[in-house]
Amino acid sequence: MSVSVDTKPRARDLAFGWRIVDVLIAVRSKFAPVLHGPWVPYAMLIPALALVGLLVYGLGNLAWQSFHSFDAFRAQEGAASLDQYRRIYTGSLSNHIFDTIGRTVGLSLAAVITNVTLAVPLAYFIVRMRSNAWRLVTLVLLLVPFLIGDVVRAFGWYILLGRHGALTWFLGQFGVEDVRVLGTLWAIWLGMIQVGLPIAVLVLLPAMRRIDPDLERAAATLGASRWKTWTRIVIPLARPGLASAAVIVWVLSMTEFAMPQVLGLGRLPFVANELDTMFFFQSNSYVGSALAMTLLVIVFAGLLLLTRFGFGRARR
Amino acid sequence: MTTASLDSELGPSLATARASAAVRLEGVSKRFGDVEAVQSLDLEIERGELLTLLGPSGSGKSTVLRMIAGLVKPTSGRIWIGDEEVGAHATHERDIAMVFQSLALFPHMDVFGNVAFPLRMRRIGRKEIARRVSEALSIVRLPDIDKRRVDELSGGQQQRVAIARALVYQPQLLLLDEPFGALDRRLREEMQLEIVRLHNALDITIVNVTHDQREALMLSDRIAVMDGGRLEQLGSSEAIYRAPATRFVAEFLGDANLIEGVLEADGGDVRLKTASGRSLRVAAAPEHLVGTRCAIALKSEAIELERLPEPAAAEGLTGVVRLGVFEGGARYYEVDVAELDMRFKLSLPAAGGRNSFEIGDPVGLRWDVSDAHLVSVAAGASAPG
Repeated sequence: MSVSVDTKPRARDLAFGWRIVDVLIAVRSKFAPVLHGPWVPYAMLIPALALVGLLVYGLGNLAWQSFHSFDAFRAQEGAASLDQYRRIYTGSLSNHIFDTIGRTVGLSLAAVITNVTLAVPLAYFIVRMRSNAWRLVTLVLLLVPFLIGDVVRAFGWYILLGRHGALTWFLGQFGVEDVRVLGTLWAIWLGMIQVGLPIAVLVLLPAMRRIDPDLERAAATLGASRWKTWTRIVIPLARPGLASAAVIVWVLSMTEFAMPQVLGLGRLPFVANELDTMFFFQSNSYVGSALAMTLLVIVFAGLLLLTRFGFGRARR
Repeated sequence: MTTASLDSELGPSLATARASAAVRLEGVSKRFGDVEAVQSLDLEIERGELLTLLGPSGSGKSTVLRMIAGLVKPTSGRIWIGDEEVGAHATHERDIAMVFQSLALFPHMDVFGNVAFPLRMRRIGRKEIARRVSEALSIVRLPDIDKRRVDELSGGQQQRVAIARALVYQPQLLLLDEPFGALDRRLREEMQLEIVRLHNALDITIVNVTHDQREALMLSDRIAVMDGGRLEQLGSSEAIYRAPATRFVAEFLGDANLIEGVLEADGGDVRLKTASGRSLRVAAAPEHLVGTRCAIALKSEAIELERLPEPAAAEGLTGVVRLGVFEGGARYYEVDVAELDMRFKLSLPAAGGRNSFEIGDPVGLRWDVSDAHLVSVAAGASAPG
């Protein structure tokens, strides 16, 4: 600490940055009474409200467009009607649309089941691991691909599964030739595991952590084998976490875009890919809105079912 | 009567196996990294007895219990439960029960589900389960709560449910891992008496782990005092309390006052010579200790105070009262004895206004020679760290 006699240091003694800080402090103390008013907590809600408002506006817009006819040639909105829904459900498009919806729902269910099934033991071992270093390594391995963009990951798999990729080479060692994975449902499913698994594990981790290891020890002393302890104690106690993981994987899978686009080679579109075509390729947001609303309804129906399964009976 | 039926069911198995110990540990050691938690422990627990492993935290007592349960694998040594060497048996294959400090009641099951759990693991029929669960709940005096959630129960009720769950399948061995540690004093004493009652009624072998010397003395047939992973002393509650073998045991059980000195033979008499040159009589001294450093262990209630100036105290030790606390049935005093550079801790009966001293009062200290028990302070019996 330096002691200076001069109580008023010349301006250039101070670094410029500090003068800004001084100004900020002065301004703040001047407005302090105002900043502590009763309205402050409400004001802090504004950004969140703006965000939610924007979402609600967008959804409202979608709903509005889906229930109006549209002249694609003149790009003109017509009267309120069910035209758009009629087009995707009964028109020449309907077969393709139903295929797409079926594929999306089917693969999403498959992704929910596989991801949650794989995530439960993985989360359990991460939580119960003795070594902190290994736990960190596992978490990093899990999180790094999670932090890389969806499209980059998809192309990673594209290279692995491609004609000159690792998979072909590996199978070639065993004399298996001409296996095509890219462009099949298998490839998309693999990609969706890659997308959903880290998130499922992350969601399950806190639920697993909450399980007191003494409960498992107690079960063992009471005569429960490893397997019985697992099915009677660990899984039932992790059930709220299982439900959350399933919900998140479901939502993410239903809106999957990159994996079908890249690993499905665009041949096996999901609803999201179809929406992309309608909105940006055909520039017909009205028919797109009808499909988007359909997707929304299916996603919410799934959410409802999953939450009922997950949280319903647990609170007995 | 429920206890009677339990007795008759336990009867034959007890008769056939009474020949051997309930639990036997032979050279059992456990090492966690660099820490030697348990060092080459030999211990035999008799059938039907209640043995307490007593020691401060880190003494290895819980590790011993967990090794018996199979929750911790010994680094070396062998363990028998009954006639069987259990080294190769996983926890669920050992016929034991354990009550944890956290109780470990299953939160997703009701009381019935918790108590029925071990029976279900043993594939016992539905009717038999219902009968045995209600029997176990009545043994712990908790009838008619089987449909309640465990988190709706009071602490004492949860304790009883945990005990019922441990007893319902009539295990050979009940392990208690400080289950009363988290209870308030009244409840703790109530549960301790409950354990004594159950032990008398059911004739089961119980191994209890605690750091509470009062609990150990109250409950146990025998106490094994542990420190630093080693067994310090094993004996009946009274023997351990009255005749501690080491300085550690003396200090850990009942506030003992230790007067150190060198043991000297003085004609036919053996006396302890303190650093200040005073020679004190001891109750009994083995010959081989003569010439070594020893200490006299005096329990806090073994010393009497007398007002000075009065006829000189037996050993002539005098001191000054530094602290006095009224505890209801007793008064607690701390007395500084300048000559020995020691602070004595005393507990005196307070009935009828007796033994009332003020701070600063000069007092004489007196004790019965038979209470002046000798403990070794040689290497290997160091004070607790």
